Amino acid sequence: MASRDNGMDHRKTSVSRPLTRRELGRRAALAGLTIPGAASLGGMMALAPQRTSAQTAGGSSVWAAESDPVSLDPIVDSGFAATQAFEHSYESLTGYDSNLNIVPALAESWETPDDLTYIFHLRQGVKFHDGSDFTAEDVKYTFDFVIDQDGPAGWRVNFSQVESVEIIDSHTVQFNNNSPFPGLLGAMAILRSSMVVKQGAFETPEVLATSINGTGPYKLVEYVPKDYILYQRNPDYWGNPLPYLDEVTFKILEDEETRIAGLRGGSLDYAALSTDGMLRMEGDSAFTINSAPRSYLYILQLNPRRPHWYHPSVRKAISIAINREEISDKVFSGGLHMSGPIPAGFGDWALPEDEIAAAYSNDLDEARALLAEGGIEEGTELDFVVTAFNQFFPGLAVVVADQLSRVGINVNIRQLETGVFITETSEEGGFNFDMQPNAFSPRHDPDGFVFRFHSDIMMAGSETTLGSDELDDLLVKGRTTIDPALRKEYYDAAQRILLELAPMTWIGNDSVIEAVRTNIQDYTQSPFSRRDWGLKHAWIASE
Amino acid sequence: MSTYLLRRMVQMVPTIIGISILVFGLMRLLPGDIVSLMTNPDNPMPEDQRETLRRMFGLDAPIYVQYWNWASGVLRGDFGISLRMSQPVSELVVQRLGVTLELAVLSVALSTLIAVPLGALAAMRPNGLMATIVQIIGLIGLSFPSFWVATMLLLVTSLYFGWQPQLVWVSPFDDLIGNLEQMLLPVLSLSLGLIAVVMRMTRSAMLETLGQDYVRTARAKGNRERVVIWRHAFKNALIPIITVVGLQIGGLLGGAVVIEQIFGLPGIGWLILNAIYQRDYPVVQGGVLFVALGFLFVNLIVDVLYAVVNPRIRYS
Repeated sequence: MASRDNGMDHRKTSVSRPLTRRELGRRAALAGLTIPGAASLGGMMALAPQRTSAQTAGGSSVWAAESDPVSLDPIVDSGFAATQAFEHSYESLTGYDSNLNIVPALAESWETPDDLTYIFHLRQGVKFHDGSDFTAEDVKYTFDFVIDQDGPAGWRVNFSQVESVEIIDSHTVQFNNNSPFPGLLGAMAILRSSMVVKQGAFETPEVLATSINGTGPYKLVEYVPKDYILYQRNPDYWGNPLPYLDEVTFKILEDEETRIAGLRGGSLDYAALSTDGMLRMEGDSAFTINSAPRSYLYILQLNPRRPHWYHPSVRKAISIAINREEISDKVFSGGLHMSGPIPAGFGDWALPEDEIAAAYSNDLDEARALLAEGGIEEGTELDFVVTAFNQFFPGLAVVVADQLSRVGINVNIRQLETGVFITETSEEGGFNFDMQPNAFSPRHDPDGFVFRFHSDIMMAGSETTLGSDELDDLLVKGRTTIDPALRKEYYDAAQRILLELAPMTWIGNDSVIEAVRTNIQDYTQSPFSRRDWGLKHAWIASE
Repeated sequence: MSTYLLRRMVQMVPTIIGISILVFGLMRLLPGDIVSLMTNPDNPMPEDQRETLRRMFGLDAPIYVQYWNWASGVLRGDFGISLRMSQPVSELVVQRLGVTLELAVLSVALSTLIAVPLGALAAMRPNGLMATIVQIIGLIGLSFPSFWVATMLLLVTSLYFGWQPQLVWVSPFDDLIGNLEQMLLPVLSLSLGLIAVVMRMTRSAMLETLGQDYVRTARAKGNRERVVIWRHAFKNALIPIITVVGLQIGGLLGGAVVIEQIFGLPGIGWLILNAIYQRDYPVVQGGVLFVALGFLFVNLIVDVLYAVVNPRIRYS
């Protein structure tokens, strides 16, 4: 594992001098290459808050949230916007710092007496926002619900290797796993169906969906859907003196124009931007703009239920025919970083860049030959469904259609409203599409990006598998081996096989770009677009 | 008058029932439901889990049973619970009603105050400079869509003047100045279009009444011009003006969605629109029913006002 040597200096992209779009994208890419692995095991770092300079406590700040959490339900809901809303108020046993190192949260330390067991020593004296004590009972109550096979936990898949949770004493719990489970600490830290709730909380789902009783640094005061989320400092936070700000409002502004207007107009202290927005904010000295590769992976998916498209050589042909650099320039203003199955920005798990580039040769003659081999004739129509669920999808569709026309595929773009799109691309609508774009939000472990290609779970509901025993073997070894170096070998090998088989077309990951008013100090950026660590340590300098 | 009002209210009942069936049915014709939309596309939910959720939301019952459950609830004053936000629909609607009402009332008030005198002035001298100006304003107001005006206002104020009101909506009861600052741009962008409509209506109605015999008679009796214009001509021109203004208020109750979206105002239109995207049936049904009721009442008030401004109209 690489050390934590990439300080913020590298990642701060000064906007005082003009940069070309290409250069911006490259800088963003370079900056993140040495971020340590997301699953560095048992890394017991003493991360007591250090007063490096004279942090001043107090003050209030208005930040922009780019999407509405819709529901605050911590377990059923699977959306990333919800995680971004409750990350300031809920905690799990472990957490991530801004460099994706796993750090202690509700658990002060942990040990692994054998490969199948984790023992967590919980922090003493922690209180929920309602004043009740946090104990081992709450941990067991939460995770019993999460791993319940008949339960509604949206991300129970992350905990499929957990067999049972045992209480040792009031502040010690033991997780018994059915196989060695290196991803457990990450599965907790990522806050997806892993927030610890107070015992009994699941009995009133309507309360759980609209309020938060957590242990985190900020108490949720009010959430008005589509409008704002208001937090107040939790004075009893175990990490005292953190957090520093008294009050933080996240104004929900889905439109980037409005966010930029808010920054310029002085009513916002923080906003996430696209590369385009970053170029437009150039030269505004009131803001520091940081950019780094984000673990957010754009892909194209051929329909596994349509064998003439899901033919191995056709898949490979399309992966070759897609010109990622052009997509980056035309759709993402240069901010997209070419990626294999595991994105850059997700620790050290990605394959070296030149290896990925070699697999994406963009050799159109080869692509045509492969298409012919798969039986796709010149001028064959491809039904490409797309939704504006993600702001870049419609533009992506247009560029992809153009690129595929160069190898003789005639792409028909069907842009659908999100509800219609989800129906059309699922069982209910009969999986009625040839190709669709998708994007994978951050995962807890490299396993989360690639285990979906194992023959047992291949393309839920379809008979199609990749049929590679070697791949299956590597994927199982990867998720059940504790030694990080060995895991890296397995995942490298698995990714090479996947690039060859091209079960989907990986396009690339974009960047997390954030504008922060210069008087906000010590906010650090996370490649997961998480803000909990940054906000917890941020303070307002008086001018 | 009271029997008339009662009759009108009774006549509303079938309209309301019709609307409720229509919105209930239309929502369910849309592909996808709340459960499919809760699914994150990058982490699809297994089918058994979806079934569990559908049962939780009561979406597994036959559609007529669902309608009956909802409609009987509404009769008891229970508009149901939002599927997505877990809050009572009535609470959500009331929360946002203030914003929408304020926006509608301020826009209509501002535009009426500007448009009616201008329209009347233009009618008095149909070939004068004022008439030309009014016609140009009318043309601009009708041609520029409100969303464009809104974006331009937002852009100009924030980019060139660095001015922006608070982002989070404040109630006028907490901070009147802050609230009015927030309302300024939305009201201006809505008003431009309204001014054009009302002004043109005022002008043509006034032109018509000014040519009537009773106006000539009034002049012949030696009345001062001001009395002729405002007491005789304008009062008679009021009926079409009131109709237009009433329609605008009704339309604004549910129709300022785009403006609400651009300025981030949490109003009713926005609530309904997002509920449609989320397939949050109770919120859409409750919201639309509410807006429809509002529209019907505004119409009723307009009809009553006819009698007030024109004594010859008597309801019995």
